[in-house]
Amino acid sequence: MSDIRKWFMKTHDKGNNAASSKPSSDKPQSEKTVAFAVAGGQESSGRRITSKYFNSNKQKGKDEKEKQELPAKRKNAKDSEEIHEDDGDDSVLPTNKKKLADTTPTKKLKSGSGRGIPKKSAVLEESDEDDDKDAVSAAKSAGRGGGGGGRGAPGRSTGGRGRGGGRGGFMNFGERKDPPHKGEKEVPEGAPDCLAGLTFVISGTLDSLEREEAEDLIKRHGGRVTGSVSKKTNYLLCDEDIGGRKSEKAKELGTSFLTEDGLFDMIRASKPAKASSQEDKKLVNKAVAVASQSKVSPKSQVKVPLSSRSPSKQAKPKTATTVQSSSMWTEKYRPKDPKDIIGNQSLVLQLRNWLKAWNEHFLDTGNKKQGKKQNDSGLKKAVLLSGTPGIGKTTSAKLVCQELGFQAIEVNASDSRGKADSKIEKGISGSKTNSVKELVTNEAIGVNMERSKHYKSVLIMDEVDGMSAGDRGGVADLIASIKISKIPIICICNDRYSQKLKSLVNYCLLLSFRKPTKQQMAKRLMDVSKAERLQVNEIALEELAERVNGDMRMALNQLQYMSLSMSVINYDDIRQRFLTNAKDEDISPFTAVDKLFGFNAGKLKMDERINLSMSDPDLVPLIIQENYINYRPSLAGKDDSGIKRMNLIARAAESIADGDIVNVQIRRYRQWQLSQTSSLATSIIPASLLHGQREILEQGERNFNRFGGWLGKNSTMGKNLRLLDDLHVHILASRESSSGRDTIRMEYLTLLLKEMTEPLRTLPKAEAVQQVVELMNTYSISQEDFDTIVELSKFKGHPNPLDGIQPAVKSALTKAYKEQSSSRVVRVADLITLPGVKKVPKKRIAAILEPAGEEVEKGEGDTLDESEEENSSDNEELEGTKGEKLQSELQSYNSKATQIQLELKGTGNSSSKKTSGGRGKGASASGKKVAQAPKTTAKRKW
Amino acid sequence: MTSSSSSSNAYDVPWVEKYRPSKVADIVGNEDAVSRLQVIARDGNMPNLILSGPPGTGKTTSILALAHELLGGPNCKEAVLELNASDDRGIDVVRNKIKMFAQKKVTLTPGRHKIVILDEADSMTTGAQQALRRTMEIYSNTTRFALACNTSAKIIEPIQSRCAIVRFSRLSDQEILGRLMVVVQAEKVPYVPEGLEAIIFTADGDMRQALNNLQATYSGFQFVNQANVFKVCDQPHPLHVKNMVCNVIEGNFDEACSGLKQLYDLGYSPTDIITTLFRIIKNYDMAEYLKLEFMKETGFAHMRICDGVGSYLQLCGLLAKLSLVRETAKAV
Repeated sequence: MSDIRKWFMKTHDKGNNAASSKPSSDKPQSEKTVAFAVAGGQESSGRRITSKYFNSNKQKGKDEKEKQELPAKRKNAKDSEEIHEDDGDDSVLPTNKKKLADTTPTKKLKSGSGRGIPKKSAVLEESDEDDDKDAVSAAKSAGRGGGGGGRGAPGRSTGGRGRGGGRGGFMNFGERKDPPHKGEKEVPEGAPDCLAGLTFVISGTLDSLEREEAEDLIKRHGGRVTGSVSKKTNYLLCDEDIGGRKSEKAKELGTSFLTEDGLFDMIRASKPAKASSQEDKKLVNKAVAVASQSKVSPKSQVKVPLSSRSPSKQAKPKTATTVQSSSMWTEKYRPKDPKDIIGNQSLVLQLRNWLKAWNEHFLDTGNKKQGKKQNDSGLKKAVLLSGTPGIGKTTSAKLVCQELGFQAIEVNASDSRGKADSKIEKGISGSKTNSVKELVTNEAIGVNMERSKHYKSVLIMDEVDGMSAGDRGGVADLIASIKISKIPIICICNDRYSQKLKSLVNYCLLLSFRKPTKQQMAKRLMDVSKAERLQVNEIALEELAERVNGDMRMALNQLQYMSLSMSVINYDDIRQRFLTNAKDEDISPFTAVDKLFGFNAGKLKMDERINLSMSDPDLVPLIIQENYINYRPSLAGKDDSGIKRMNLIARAAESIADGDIVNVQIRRYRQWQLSQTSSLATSIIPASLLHGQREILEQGERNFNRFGGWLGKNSTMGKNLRLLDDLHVHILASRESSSGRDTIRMEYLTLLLKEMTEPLRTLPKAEAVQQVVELMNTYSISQEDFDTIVELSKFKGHPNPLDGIQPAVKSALTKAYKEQSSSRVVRVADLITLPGVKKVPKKRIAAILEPAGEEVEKGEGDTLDESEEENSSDNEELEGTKGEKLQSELQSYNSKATQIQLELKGTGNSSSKKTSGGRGKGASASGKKVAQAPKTTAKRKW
Repeated sequence: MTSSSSSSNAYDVPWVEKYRPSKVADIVGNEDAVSRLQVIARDGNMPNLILSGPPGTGKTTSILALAHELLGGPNCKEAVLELNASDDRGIDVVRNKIKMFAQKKVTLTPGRHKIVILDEADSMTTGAQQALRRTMEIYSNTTRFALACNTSAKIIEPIQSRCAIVRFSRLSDQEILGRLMVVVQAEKVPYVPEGLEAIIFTADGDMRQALNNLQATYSGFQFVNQANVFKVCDQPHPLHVKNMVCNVIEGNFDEACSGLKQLYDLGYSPTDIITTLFRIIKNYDMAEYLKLEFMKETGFAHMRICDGVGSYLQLCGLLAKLSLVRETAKAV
């Protein structure tokens, strides 16, 4: 029995590895994680070992942080999978029937979704050409991409709460267990900041706390929680030494192990006995002091506030009211030097270099007055700073100009920026034409500055994506100004993928500003708090930085607002503040769909779901319709045969169809009060039926929500209809068929394709080519029409119609077709004059009747003349059109053939040898040749 | 008696305006926000604010009271610019009026700034909001902005970045009752407790609606009781509709139909009935699969009513469908 179980475990381990490798197929793992079960290990000794800090430069520190971030994410994924496998091993032995939460798929889904963000953007950019909606969604998707970094942590924390039925005893590998004594222990309340300066890593399942609860507990008391063990980690918090990756690394680095009870004891010990807490703080201070002494001076300056805060904590908190200054904190603490800007230093450097080199490249070349300019492809006359609000774009531009001695002339969204603005750049005093008085002021200043410091002016065109209806033609005029400008122009915007800026981007050097990290923001916020005599710990400020999502200006505003009634701000205060006052970001349709389909979707209120689907009422239903089949519904629970899932998919599909009916009412009859019903049917009901884990159905598919394919298919249908229209016109012009477009598509196309491809595949080359060219001439099918017929006949799962045809035969066909194009000049000329489908018959009839009239007149002359003889043959053709006397028709064809042979004096096959059918074909071909000649003759006469 | 009451009614002003607080401390509800505004009123240096919340929760009153306390006195009219939805707030207004007001020089005490109040800011055009963002920064040393809106999601993200967001939530029943009692005693309104309960119920956390309903009931019937209050309010009684839904869920179809008959005979339009029904079902406490099916059937009934089929038969058919769904719907 145990052997069979081991065999099952081994089999499933392979499955796990295979499954885990798919989401990260782009990054192959060098080592396979080997899971081995270890009985409960002994707890490590309680002594604390502080890892030594190494001396390093500031840049190296940043590089190390950046390097550590990426591996940390991978390690997190691996560690979580490994932990789940170990948990599975433990759970198999006690009981097989125990159902546990399935968290591994959630994490895979989240990580896969995170990795896919850039690819989605690429797909969106490609599809921009198809439809305008794609452009809109591309812009929103870009916005979502910005928020992608912040989604990782919530995704991981969400995984812990995932619910779903187990898939059987042996299928429970990799699932996280609930804490054995959940909710039974009292959570201690210690002194604030009793864990300050300590770094924790949580591993496995704790005794009574969920992982997120433990994180909150540690952060509430000033501790730091990271996802992976490093040299800076003080404690690894785990109740069982399960021998995972984190545990291995902790042993390797000498990190102390700590149980949940140990953590509780640490927190409790800080409260009742003040003497012991003071001793602990002294130890912490000593460690910090030792560390600070060994570091470079900039970092030691950063550390000094930490050590200086400890004495103030021991003393009584000051309750004196702070004297309020009259400035906003965002202005008071605005950076005064480019070095003070948080993050984006490389971009500030690029901006400085660009501005320095501007004069050399664009003004000093050639004659000053005429201003000849080089057109180096690598250099741009303008720069475009883009990024989310509050990260320092305008401040960077101003500080760099100030540093280099440029006078900044600022024009922003509060100025009128229509075409009149061009006069400002030219220096022409066109102020009288502008009705806006502020513009006069700006222009006056501009003119003065330009005159006094001609080479030291910069135009900052702020908020260029804010140009709206009042600035008609503003962006185009801005582009024209950039071309002729003699001063540098710095454009600033939030959304560089906006439709308005598509053309502007080509003329600018693009600098995309990034959001600062929460550590960078926390440092700056700590300085501000210290200056304002506000007691905040670093963990709380990091939480604030995370909550505002990288918006430094908003962080300062919130901090100032909270300081109105608090002089001591804790981690819980910030969490409480942002639970009620979160910033309303623009939710992209993909985020909305992720939330509706997520594991926690069942907990959302109806109003929240309606708001999510209403965030983009056009795109959210399309994305849901595209992706709903990929979800394994958690409602189905244990579903071995798949019938429950199929039933849920059927109900979701029916609801989507119902939503289409409601949408017709809304769009066609303008009944907008039904919009909630529409979002219910198209989005909320399908998502509630199928929310759960997403999985791939085909090999090579990526496990994140795809963009709605309906838009692309709709565009393809439009294109195919246009091509079919062209083919339809040509076939009508040949007068061989007068069918409608649908009839050609449904009934003629299959036969035409067969007649055009089968000879090329089976007959000898020359004969096949001749046969196909004749068919194409008969039906007026051009080379493009040939490709159209092949394209319209391609179906998924069917072979390509051109399979089996030799390339030599194809090229011979093309060559033969082109060789005979000279004889089709008249016919092609006829086609050009056709304005539309309806007018074809009239013009065709007119063209036929006109030479007939001529022939009738000349028919009265001598019959012996050669040209008159040809005219009479045309007359016979007209009679043939009327369908009279078939026998006489055949006889006339025979006589024509005989005459032509005599006239041409050419040797040919004797008609008597062929069958009567052959004679008819030859006669008709000859007749056409003769028929074209008299037209030419007629034209010459005219 | 009649002549005296009619003459007094002729000179009545809306109680919403008559009893509007002029000090921040007197504002009802939302203690956390009000306490911070009091600190601002005392110390000055007001940050840019976005006051967001449902109607009737005190946003405009808070801003006006704050401006009055900060800038009360001879300079009050010159130092406060108030714009609301009745003013044109396109992009030209922001470029001209607001900007020139921000550039104007007014002598104020230290820590005080000019205030621009933009009421109902979510109805501003996107272009106007774009034009506002740099103005808020350039003149922040002299001018502060206060925006009031129902949905802060309508405010563009760059402006949210420049402001501190203050959330106003619906008032609780106790808070509304306290304020109603003040007005009732001041105006000597005869009432019974059930009448005030009815007003609080129909107000649903909206102080302005509560006061208006109180005044309307008193003006119309001279006595505030439940029957008079519900005669004045023009919506189907949510509790009545809720009872209908409860009867459907518990299988009492006949009682549900009789309740619907009462609503229909009272003259409510089918659109009002169906809208209230949708809202009640949306917030009713029942299993999710059942709620979704109920919402779906109600939505399709709404579609038929929009097509012009709004008869009593259709509404009864809806109740029958809901009863059928209750018996046939299953979770999976």
